[in-house]
Amino acid sequence: MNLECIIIDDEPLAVAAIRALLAETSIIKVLGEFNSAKEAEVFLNSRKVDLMFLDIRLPSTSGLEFIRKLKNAPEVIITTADPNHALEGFELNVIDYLLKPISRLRLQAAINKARIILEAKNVRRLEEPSSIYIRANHKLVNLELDQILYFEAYSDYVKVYVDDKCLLTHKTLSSMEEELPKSRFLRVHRSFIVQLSKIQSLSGNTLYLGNGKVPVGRSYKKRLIEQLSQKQV
Amino acid sequence: MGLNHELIKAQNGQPVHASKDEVCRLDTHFLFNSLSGLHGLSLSSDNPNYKGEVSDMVLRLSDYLRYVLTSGNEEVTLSQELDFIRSYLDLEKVRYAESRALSISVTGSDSFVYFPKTILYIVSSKCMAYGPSGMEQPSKFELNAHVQGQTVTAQFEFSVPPSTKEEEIQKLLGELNEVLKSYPIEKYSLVHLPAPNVCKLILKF
Repeated sequence: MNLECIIIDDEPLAVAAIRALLAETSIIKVLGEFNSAKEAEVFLNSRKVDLMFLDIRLPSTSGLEFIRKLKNAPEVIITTADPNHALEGFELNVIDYLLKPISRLRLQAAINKARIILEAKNVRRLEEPSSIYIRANHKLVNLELDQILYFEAYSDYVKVYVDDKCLLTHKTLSSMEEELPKSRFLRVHRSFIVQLSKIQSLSGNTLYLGNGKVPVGRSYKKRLIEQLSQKQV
Repeated sequence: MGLNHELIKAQNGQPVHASKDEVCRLDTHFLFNSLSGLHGLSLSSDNPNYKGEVSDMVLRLSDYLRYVLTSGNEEVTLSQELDFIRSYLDLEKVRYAESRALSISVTGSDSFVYFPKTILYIVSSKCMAYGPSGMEQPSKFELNAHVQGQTVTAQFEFSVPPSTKEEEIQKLLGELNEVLKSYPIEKYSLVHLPAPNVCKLILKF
């Protein structure tokens, strides 16, 4: 597995050291080097990155604050001369905490850890279906899960709300729920299942997804809040 | 309008010398970052931009360590102290690829004025930590030492980030108070000027 990474450090020579050591490994591709968190954030918003090598003391912010701020942070390996933030780093689930100057062996060990963690995540991702088949309008339709906003029970049918349309399929909401990956979809009402990543906001007992509104049932709210808190930064 | 803090008067008019432990504070964060920079230079020795930098940096780092770690000489001349700060600033310039404007100047005759060792360095490194070291470009650090007889006035002027808050200036003041409390300083003041985002620190020995 090849890992695509970026390096964030305000000292050009520290970047040079990491770049040179990474060039000796065959599984790492450096996509970018940044001297500030601000520049890196722009890049991270534009494309997916597997891993970032991140200094702690950065202009205008700290690396740890930066991790907290990112909505979908890649895996992180901290690179710093300061040993005092290791605990805080591991509380943020960083893969490793490397003290400068960084040795080849230590860096390699960190990369191996990153590879194992990212491979495990990929396996999990592959095991989950990326699409489902539903019968609608007398056809069997293959629906990418990424397109789906939410499901609504409609008597013996289920309405499937996708990006720009609504499909009606003959199925119960409970049987639909069983087919969906639990890491992505959640029952929020006896008549509604939503895709968590599509939630734009929660206001009172109403969820906003795309152009739609979904009520949250009283007995489902606690579980919803727990799920959203896990994703909160 | 900025904030003006006038903090310490001479303590009974008597010079007080700090202990060696207090004076010779090795900034480990700076040291390991410099070693990391040196590591980066050595790994990039085929880069023409870095030609000759490894040996220069080893020599500067040696000067830095010798001055900080060598025992004795709890008083040094102002020239020695300023030379040491030049080595420190040179290391900072290499680490940050010359992206910071760092300078030292002296007015008056400084040859025979004696100083507690590393005091100006410790103050310089604190100013750098609050300002230029944590900033994107452009940033500056200037130290001017004016000598008149046996009196030295050291004036530091350094950039601080535009977002600097009053609490951060207070924190810097607290750290300076802690460092300077044992030294024979007649007075000092710190002014934060938000408009150009600089701090001016004046120490009078």
